[in-house]
Amino acid sequence: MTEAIEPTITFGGAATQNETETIRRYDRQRRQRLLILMGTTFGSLIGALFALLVLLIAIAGTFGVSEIVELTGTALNALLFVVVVTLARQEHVEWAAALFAVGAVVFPNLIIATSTATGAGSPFNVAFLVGAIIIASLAGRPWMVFVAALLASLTTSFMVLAPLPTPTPAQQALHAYLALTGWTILPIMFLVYWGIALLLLAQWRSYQRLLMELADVRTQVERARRLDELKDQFIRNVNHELRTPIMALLGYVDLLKNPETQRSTEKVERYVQRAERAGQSLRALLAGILDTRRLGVLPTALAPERLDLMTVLEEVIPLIPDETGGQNTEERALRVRMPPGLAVWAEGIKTQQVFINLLGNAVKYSAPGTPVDIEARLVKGDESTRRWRRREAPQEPVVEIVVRDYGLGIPPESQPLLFQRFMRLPRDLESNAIGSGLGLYLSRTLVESMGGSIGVQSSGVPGEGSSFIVRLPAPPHAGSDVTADEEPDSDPQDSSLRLVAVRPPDATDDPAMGDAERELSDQRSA
Amino acid sequence: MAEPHRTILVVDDHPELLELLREGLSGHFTILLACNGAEGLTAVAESHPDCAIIDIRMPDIDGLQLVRTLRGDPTTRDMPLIILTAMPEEQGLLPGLLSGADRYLTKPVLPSELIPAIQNAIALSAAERARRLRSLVEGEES
Repeated sequence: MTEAIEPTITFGGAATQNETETIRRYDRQRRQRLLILMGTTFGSLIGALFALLVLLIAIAGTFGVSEIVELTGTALNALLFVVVVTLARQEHVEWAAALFAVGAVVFPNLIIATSTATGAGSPFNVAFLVGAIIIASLAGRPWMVFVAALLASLTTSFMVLAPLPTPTPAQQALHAYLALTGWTILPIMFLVYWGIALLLLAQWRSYQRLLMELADVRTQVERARRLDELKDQFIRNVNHELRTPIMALLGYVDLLKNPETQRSTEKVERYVQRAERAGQSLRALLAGILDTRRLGVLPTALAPERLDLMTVLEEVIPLIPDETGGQNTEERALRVRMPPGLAVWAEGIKTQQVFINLLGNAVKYSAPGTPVDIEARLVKGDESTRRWRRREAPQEPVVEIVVRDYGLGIPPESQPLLFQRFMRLPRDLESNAIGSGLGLYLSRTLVESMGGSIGVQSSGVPGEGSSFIVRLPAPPHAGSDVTADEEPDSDPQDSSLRLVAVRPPDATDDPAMGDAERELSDQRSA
Repeated sequence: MAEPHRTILVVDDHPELLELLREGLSGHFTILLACNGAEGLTAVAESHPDCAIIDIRMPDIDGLQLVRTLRGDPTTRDMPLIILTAMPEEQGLLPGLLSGADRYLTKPVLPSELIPAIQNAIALSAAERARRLRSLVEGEES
């Protein structure tokens, strides 16, 4: 399961996969536009050359085999550029680039080598060949530069080493030149071609880096803009969510003032209770907002300790809020699969809060009765960062915990922003689900403050649900424990807990709540 | 002249709010509750309330859409409709009134403020004017 997760994980800091895709798309568009532009320019030039040739041949009045070859070649070359532009327009950028190199290098040289009318040009057509390499570097990927350099080398070799039975003026000039300089010119030309190709490759790489940075800036700006939108949305949400409990609170107080109400003790009691509940939901909402603000701004000192994961889960389950208005009190199976005694190196309250959020979401966004799975294992090093810091010292072992539900899932396009503050999915805004869009942001902040990371994997298909992957540091020396059993699943232990959605601490309403649970609630709100 | 007993429909997706309005208004009106737009439409068709209080942001049918639907139906065209929403006025007032609602009230509203608002809306509604006119004419004739 975890192998399948890796490629689609979205982690907070680095560019997300979506953003990398955006960057690639920008680059592709750039090359596409360049190919269309260059293809059109070259095609027009060759077309003009064709017209000029017709004119020259008409003036000269000679029409033989070489003229036919020259005219056909020029026409074919022009046609090749038409194909290049068409392919580029249809987004076959690689094919277009390859054909462009052929059109820019091979054809003109063959024509020049065999023609009479234009054959008196430069013997090596060096400018043309080097130009083709440069164009290949602009229009194509690195391998295009290699192809262009190779073609240039072959063309030059062909012109030098394979003289035609009836040498053209160009070849005659070339051979006269070779007689003067000797054959050393050939390796020199190769050096020129390949030297230029290497320079261009270096330039291409730095250009790519620049482009990536530029695209990065663009995605950052886009992110900031989205965050701003989310902030507005958040304020609207808060406004909306606050008004209802305020109205309930004021409304019941208003009813309590009514002398008619005061005659019935039962009514007074009921109204006081409801007013109190409205006040409590206001308090919870405010606490959430303030937590967000505090955690978002202030770094807190880290005081990690060894936490037994199973104990954490057992403690957390009674605290999972029921945000569906009491309709969801049905028991859920929480299937836990982890090696016995698996522990993390983290802070108790923070870790609890993370699992309250994740399990609470799992309950909230999946159908009553569907199970929730937790799978945990010790892995060697944080695989998400290993990619970027390959040369660093061996990674500390981490504990990977996957919380999986079988609910609505999260559409892939919403995933990159899921852990941002104020994020709520469009469907939540339309539904009755209470939420401030803070839970996952809080979870991410908490996990990262403890040196861990959090990610999500979901196909967005309802029923397939989503998996949230939390990575937290393992306690010191935990690595040596596992070296004995490197296989992460060597000895997992299946446990099953009952996940019951309970109401937020509202003791009067829930006599089933034991003292221990109440203590935990107090601890949580403290 | 004794006021006839009125039936009021409340359409809102917040259960705690429906509860409050039932408690607060039931001394003055017969209260029908609906927790979404579709239920609201059914309740209107079945019970022909004298006035409806409608929230805007609801999961299925948007409150504005519900108001437009009721205004488009000849049998409910003249029913007094009050929008009661958490959406601030600068955002919702114009669309609310354009949809055809008689009043636009922003939460929080006290039950004691809501009662006169409902009575006013009923008194001012076209249906009510027609009814009173008719009873006046009939009273003169008799």
